[in-house]
Amino acid sequence: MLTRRELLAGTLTALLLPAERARSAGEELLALPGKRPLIKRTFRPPNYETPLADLRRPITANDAFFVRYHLANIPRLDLREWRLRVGGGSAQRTLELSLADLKRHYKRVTIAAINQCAGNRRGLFSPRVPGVQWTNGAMGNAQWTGVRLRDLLRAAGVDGSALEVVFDGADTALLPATPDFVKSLPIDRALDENTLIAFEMNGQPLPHWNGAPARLVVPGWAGTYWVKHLTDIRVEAKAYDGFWMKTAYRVPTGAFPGTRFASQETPETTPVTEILVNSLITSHEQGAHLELNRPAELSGWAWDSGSGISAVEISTDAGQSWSPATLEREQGRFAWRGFRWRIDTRGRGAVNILARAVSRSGARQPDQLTPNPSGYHHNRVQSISLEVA
Amino acid sequence: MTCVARALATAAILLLACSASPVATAGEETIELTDAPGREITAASCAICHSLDYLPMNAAVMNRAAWDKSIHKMVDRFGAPISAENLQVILDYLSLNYSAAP
Repeated sequence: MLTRRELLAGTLTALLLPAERARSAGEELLALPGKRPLIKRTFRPPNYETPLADLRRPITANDAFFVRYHLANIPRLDLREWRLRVGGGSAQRTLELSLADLKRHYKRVTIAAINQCAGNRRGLFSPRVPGVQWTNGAMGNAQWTGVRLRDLLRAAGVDGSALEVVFDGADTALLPATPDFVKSLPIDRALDENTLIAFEMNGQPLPHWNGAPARLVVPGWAGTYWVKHLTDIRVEAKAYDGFWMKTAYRVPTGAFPGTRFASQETPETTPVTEILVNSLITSHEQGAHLELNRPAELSGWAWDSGSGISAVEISTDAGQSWSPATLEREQGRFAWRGFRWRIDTRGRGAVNILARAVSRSGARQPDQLTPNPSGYHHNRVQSISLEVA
Repeated sequence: MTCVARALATAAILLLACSASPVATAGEETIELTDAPGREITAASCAICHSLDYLPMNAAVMNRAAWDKSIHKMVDRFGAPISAENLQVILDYLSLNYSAAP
């Protein structure tokens, strides 16, 4: 563990290694300590997006995984002192657990899952909306290892009054008046067997910028619930009414499919919950050139909130006809699934490709986006133009 | 001292008030805001809580009404310590220099 002095020196003069500049103006690749160069959206709080080239592997590398914070005071936690408190008004007792306690007393579980920011692709909305202007890389796929939240909650004793479980991490604002980043989950999702307190990512301790020493993992739900640097978990009989639940991360009620968060819903707005069916072509960038008559393959990933992917469909005639891509083996129902499709390179000129995923629940990516003020849930059919020459 | 350096110095004073605040500020001093009246007050006020790249990042979708709403959100929701007089300076500066939306 770093001393306070090293910590200050290490963070205030954090090495931000300049790398090659991204194509468009104002887009830079910079490396936070412990990360490879990522697309810098904002310095403070740090918001860094994974470049397309780092989204080509089945598992997104820890040092390439996107970074998203709302508040700028992000302490490096001393594992000897770090404790996770589990209690609250609807718990029978309060637990204080060290990382060793978590590892020793609870069953270890690993789940492959997409972690995707609710605002992923906000920068692709038209008309544009304010907020961090993410493109495709506020997401990644990883193996999360930890313990089941429900095992901790059962050890603390959940009584019949429990409505929500509230999560707070060690990151805070610089001003005391700024609302702390605190999120809640409905009790049934908190007790779901797939909701984890994870301390490892892809077999390694969680990277600092992704929530060390432990974070919440809610497979199928938007990244906003995946609270980092966890310190407090409270089971409560009342709906949590902090800013980050009652004001932020909301969409018009009824506008989107997915699980409803009843205790947080109003007639006007409701929290973002599950991620929507989606896909991403990773093999080629928009405008890429292909060699005439040389075999070429389009590939990428498709995912949804956990029903699994049943098909990825490709159209080269502006959506008049669709043909299925070849699907790779599943890595788990919460992970993304690979697809491949042979590109016809026998004629010169533009190849305009549309790609859309279909989930086992029958959901299909839409042709049009549902407008919403904060630019959440971008999952429109992807369109890419390649050039055969 | 450039406006950004001064803004960061202001932010640093606030940081020192919090104990061992591990806030990565390195890199953000390279951000240059448009040189126009109100730049220094804007930079110093905004940089208390966040880096100044938020301003150009959102310029394409902002106009005077949107900045007015945003600045009031910073004060009312996030507790930014900005005087009424400075609010006006900031609003004028952002409306004239970081507003690309109609």
